Amino acid sequence: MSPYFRARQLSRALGTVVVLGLVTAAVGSRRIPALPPGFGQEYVPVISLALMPVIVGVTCTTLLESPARTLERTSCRGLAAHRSLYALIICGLAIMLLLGAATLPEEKPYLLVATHFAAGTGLSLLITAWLSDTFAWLLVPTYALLSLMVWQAADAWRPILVFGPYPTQWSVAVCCALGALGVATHVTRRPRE
Amino acid sequence: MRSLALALRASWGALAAPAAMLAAVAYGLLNNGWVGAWMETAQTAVNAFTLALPLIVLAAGLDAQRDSDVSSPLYPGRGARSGVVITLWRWVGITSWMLAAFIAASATLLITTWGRSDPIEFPWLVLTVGVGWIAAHTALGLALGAYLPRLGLLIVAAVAPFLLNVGLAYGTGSPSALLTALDNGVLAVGTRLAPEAAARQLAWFCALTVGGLIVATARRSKPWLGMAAAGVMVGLGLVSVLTGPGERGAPVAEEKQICAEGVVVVCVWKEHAYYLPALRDVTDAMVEDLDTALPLPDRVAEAGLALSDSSVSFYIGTQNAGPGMLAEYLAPDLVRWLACEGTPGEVAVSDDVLVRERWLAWRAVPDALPPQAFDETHGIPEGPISEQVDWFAAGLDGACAPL
Repeated sequence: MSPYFRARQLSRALGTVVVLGLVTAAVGSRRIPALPPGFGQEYVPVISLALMPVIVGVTCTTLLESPARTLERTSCRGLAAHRSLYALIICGLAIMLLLGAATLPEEKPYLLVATHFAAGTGLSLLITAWLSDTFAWLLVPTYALLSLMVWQAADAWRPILVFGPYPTQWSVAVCCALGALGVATHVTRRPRE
Repeated sequence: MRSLALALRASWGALAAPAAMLAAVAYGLLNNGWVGAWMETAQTAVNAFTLALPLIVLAAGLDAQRDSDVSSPLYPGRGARSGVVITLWRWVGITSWMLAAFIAASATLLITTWGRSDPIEFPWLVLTVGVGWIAAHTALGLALGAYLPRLGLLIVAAVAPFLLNVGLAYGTGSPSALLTALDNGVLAVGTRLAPEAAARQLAWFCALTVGGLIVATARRSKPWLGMAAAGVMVGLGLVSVLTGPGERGAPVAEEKQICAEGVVVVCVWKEHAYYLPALRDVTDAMVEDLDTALPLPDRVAEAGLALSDSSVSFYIGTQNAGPGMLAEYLAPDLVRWLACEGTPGEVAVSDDVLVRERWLAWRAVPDALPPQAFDETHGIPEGPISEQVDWFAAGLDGACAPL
């Protein structure tokens, strides 16, 4: 195993993703009988399944970040390849677990889960290209939560609320673009100084 | 003052507080789930901070982990100070930031109510509960930050407090709702936060704050003390849930209404006087000419006001409701009253009833599409208004199911 993967403690990272996948399955399949059916049994699980992929995405960003910056410089020669492979492993496992969690509720919101994970990861990776991942943790989940809570009431703002509870063609396109841009930025970025 | 300035500078609250304020204000102003009376506005302001909950806990946790590396040149030199002082210093820093954000967000939302709503009473208690809720969660964040590794803190702070708070608040008025600031819909106009419920909530938040600070401080020196404090907190929470009523809303001591004369008398809570002129016009337009075929109510009154058999009660469901929305809210209750002639009863939803509700609303807001445009199978006469009124009345015969 190369120093790149050894430094990242691959098994620990995979374990983290698995735990988060299980949490997503647990909260996303939960029904709230005390609330009106339209809200407690449909909207709340959708919200849970919409928010958790964003958290998983930001977590993946932290896992993709190098724990020791000097290691990136020393393995500079194959850095893009290492980063791509590592991102594929972590994000691939995460997306499989999230899609698995999406099979549990009746609505099966596969598209919602996949797009929110892509946008959460992409947005966080873009932020961490210039700032510390702490900024991503502080800003991205709050933005996602805000999008989810006001989406139904704020028709005019929907184009900028990419983490809405129901995917539209526009939000799917934006989420996919953010995901692709974030991963591309991460893979091609120069080693941190 | 210098210590406070340093605490503010050293806190992640500098980033988290503006983000929290913006999120809370956006939620409050964009989400039309509240009507605009002061008590409800204050509750909306407190609940809007739900969005900031991950930020509050996360920023506090990161503050607890800041400069914890004793080999770092930024290490604050704890040898000279006790752990208690350091923890309190950090708590004051992050809490000050978050309280500033909370005050700014609450003021923004209350200002939107200013001038159009004469408060029955200022919602001090609700806002105080919000302050206690924030203070408790910053202490919890510090405790989490003291024990968890960085990645664990990031994940737990983003997920657990939000799920826990929302989970505890499920079921309006449930006992567990006392352990959280969230409990939407309890403080509608005409209700106030029950003082005993507020006292129990504040006691719980104080216990949580003190317990969280003890747990955060005791990590290195006295871990058993932290365990004991955590145990006391859980115990107090259980006692709070298991004892006493769960109801948080209580009726205001004195009913204050304001009425306007029209075809029928229209009354709203004094805090909703802003809606009265539009509501009177809407009601007049709806009931005008109906008396040729149906008995009319004496009074149309907002939900929560005292009623008689000859009163129609209805609920203003959203902030800044214009004539169209008011007509939409009033029409179903008016149809129910007319069908049941004032006696308690329900009207089953059917196409016949829906098209009559739409016809009533259209009379009040002629700019809206006429009901004929939606459904031509219900035989709405094109002729004079008296024929339309007869058609309307005929469709309500037998529609009422007595309770």
